[in-house]
Amino acid sequence: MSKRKLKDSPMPIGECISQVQTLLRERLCHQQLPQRPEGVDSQHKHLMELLKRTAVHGESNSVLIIGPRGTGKTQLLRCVLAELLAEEDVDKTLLQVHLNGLLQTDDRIALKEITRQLSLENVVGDQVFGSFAENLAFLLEALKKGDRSSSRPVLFILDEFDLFAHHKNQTLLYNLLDVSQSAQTPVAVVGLTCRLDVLELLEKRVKSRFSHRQIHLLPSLSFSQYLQAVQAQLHLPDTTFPDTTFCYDWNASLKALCEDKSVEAVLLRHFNSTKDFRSLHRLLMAILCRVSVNNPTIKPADLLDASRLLSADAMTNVLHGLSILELCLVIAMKHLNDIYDGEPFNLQMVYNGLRAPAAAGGGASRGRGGGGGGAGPARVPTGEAHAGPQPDHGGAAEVPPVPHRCQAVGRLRLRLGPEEGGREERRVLHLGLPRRVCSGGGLVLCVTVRHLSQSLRQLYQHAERFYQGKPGVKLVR
Amino acid sequence: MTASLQHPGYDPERLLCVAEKMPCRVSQAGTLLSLMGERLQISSMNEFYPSIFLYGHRSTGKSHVINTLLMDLELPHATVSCVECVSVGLMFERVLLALFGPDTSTLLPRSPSLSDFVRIYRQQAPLSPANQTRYIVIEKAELLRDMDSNLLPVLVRLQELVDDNVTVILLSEIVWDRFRPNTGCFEPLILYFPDYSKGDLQQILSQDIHPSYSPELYSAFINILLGVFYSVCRDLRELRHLAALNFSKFCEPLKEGKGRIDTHKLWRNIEPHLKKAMQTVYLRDVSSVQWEQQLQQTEEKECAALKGLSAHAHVELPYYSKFLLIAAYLASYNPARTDRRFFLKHHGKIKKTNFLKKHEKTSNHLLGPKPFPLDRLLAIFYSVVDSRVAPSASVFSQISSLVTLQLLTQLGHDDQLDAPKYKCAVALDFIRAISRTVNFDIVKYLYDFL
Repeated sequence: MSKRKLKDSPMPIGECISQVQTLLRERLCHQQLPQRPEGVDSQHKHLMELLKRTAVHGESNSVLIIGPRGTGKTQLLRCVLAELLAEEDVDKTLLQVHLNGLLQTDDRIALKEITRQLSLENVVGDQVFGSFAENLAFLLEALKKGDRSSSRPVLFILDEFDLFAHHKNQTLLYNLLDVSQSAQTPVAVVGLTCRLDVLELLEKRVKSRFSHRQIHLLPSLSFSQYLQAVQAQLHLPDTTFPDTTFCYDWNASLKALCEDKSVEAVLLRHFNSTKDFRSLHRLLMAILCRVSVNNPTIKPADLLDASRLLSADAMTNVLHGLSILELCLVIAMKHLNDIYDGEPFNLQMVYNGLRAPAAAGGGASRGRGGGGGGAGPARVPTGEAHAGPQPDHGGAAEVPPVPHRCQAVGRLRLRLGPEEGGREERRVLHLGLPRRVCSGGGLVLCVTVRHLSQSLRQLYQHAERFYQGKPGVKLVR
Repeated sequence: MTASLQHPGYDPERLLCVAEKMPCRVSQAGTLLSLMGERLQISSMNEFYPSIFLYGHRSTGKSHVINTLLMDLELPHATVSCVECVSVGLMFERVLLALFGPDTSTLLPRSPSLSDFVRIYRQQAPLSPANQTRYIVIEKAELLRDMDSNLLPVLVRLQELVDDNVTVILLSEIVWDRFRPNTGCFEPLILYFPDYSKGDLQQILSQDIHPSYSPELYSAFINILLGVFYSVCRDLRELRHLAALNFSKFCEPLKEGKGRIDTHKLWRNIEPHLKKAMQTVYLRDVSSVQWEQQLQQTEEKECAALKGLSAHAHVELPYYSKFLLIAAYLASYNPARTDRRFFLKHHGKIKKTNFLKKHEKTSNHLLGPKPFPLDRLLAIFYSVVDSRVAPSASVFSQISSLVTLQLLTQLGHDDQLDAPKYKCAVALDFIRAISRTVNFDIVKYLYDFL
């Protein structure tokens, strides 16, 4: 960013905006290092001291920095390193090796990377290593050759430390920590991880070589600090920003923004769901991209919109885009899931579940057992002789059979449509159900009668035929 | 959204041109553009968020919008589809090729690891400095989950790992929640591409006009088409296919020269045709030419064609083979516990309700055939066949010929001689036809139909 100081002549607003964008984007995306990470003073001091001992006094050390994602582990380390390297004669002597568990997926790759980063390639270049072990032995030899006073200290930084523990036999970790224990080349091993149980992952022999120094980073911000952090993230520096008036306006509007009630509520919701700074950055990024020439300051509405954009429920979004048929399938699956307690089901079952309500609604009364091999939720075939109405809707099927004497009243709901798309009429019949009884008194048999001629009477006859002579049955007309 | 695309730093005419290419997606494109930030002068560049995750249903224009933006605004980018990348090596090669030119991809060692990729990227990035953010677009990102488990966490924080102004854009049809690895990873910025509304679809589909007909007519056709298919299918690509397939039919009366015909009559004409086409939405089991031919055939002889399709109608089997098949079907679809009830004379009265176990509540026909051992097949066979049959070699050879005919399938290895297991591979309709020829009422013996 250019540091032209045009204090007196105001810049065109477009340029101001682009300056703001550049400045803040750098802050939000590139994780620009702050002067000093906030709220972690003791950890900072601890780590600084440890690394300084290695770098200056040639002591070996090992330490783990543990904390959830987005709490600033890497930031802390980078701050400390930047501060350390600023000191004289440290930057000349200290060698750094950065490894990442995500990239160096096994020890062979890690070894290659270490060799490269220590610029030992030309030394290795002449020799052809037959095996991993030989390569390792050579590297260790190179590390062991020195002693505390004469050799340069090496700093190993293992990002995603837990992933290194999954390597075969944990060879790399074992050897690194072993070197750090013995009084050879001064080595500091710094592991960064988000797993609190990382020590459990280490083998016994590896664990015993680890110094058991841990630095825990836990987000301990209070809400007022969080608000301040928001403000600080969006704040424009008075001294370096070229246009003073714009800067003044911006900062004033920012202050007003943070005092707004609705904004505070949104931020509080964010704060309560996560204290992760990265998620805050996402939010601020979404706000920042709304700032333009026409909209030079952040308004509360922008923040609300951005928050809505980011916290939209993805599943609802996806459901919204489904066609009616697909929605029906989803409903059928949900239904099956309820019936079978989350047991797996197959496509045929879903298809069957889809067909049944569709047929009941659409007015098709096909006899069952005809084709398709499906014997799904039974519809009551109006004309043909049939074993008897069975509960539709599956819901009743899970109800344990009730003794015969117990009589419950269910409703037989008839949907009468003279023709397709015609008027629909619902009538309710009360009848005692002898066989299997509904849950909570609501076994509903949905019967669709296509033509008026096969209407109520015929169905009634059918019901009569079926229920005749059964004990405890009372047909109510 | 009628608002046109506006963004400082880009030529407004060019933006207008870009906006024309993506109807109904202007607001999404606007959001993306403002996220990308404005193009600045050389020597300063806008940082961009390390990764963006775009999701939305199929054919909602995710790739189209991104690619049009990147192409037409001439931003450095690499587009990779996960379907094409059978190995990670291919993906790395394509990314490096697109970003740094053809020489760099040769630097990759054979079967490159993520470490190699990042190393080479770091080497190359300062050599060809870009004054803009580099973009890596990854289509069909859901397939990343099946690839190397570290790939996705690396990609979403690639910016940090390679220390370059690079942004990874993931495009997917499923939601981010299904991507997140066990231990979590860097969370990308998540954006949703909503589906096209009915009006949008109408507008977009009406754009590909047939040259010899008026736009009004085509638009009317699209209206009819959407009226029929919209409730079933909202996939633009599929709808476009359907429109192309059925338009000629729609125009037939016009071609025959009946003069001016109003759309209502045309609608009457096309409606049954469209209803037939409804059966084949998404199912492209035949090519569109075949489909048209098939339609003409069915008009000639409606039912005959359908029957001709099923070869099962005229399968002739030996007498015992039929019973073997019936026995196999029973063994596949009845629970073994119920055999006593069906095939024992004095089994006592067992009610179905007492039999029900929790997992058997569902119909066995829905669950598909279950495997059964040879012994059970033979036991059922002896009890269903009318006469006494000696267990001879001919019976066994008939079983293996049924397997050869693919009416039964053998499970497990062929070398399992002592207790082979089979499954019945025929449908209910077929077995009913078979059992009718031997006067056997199979439905009485099926547990599902009790």
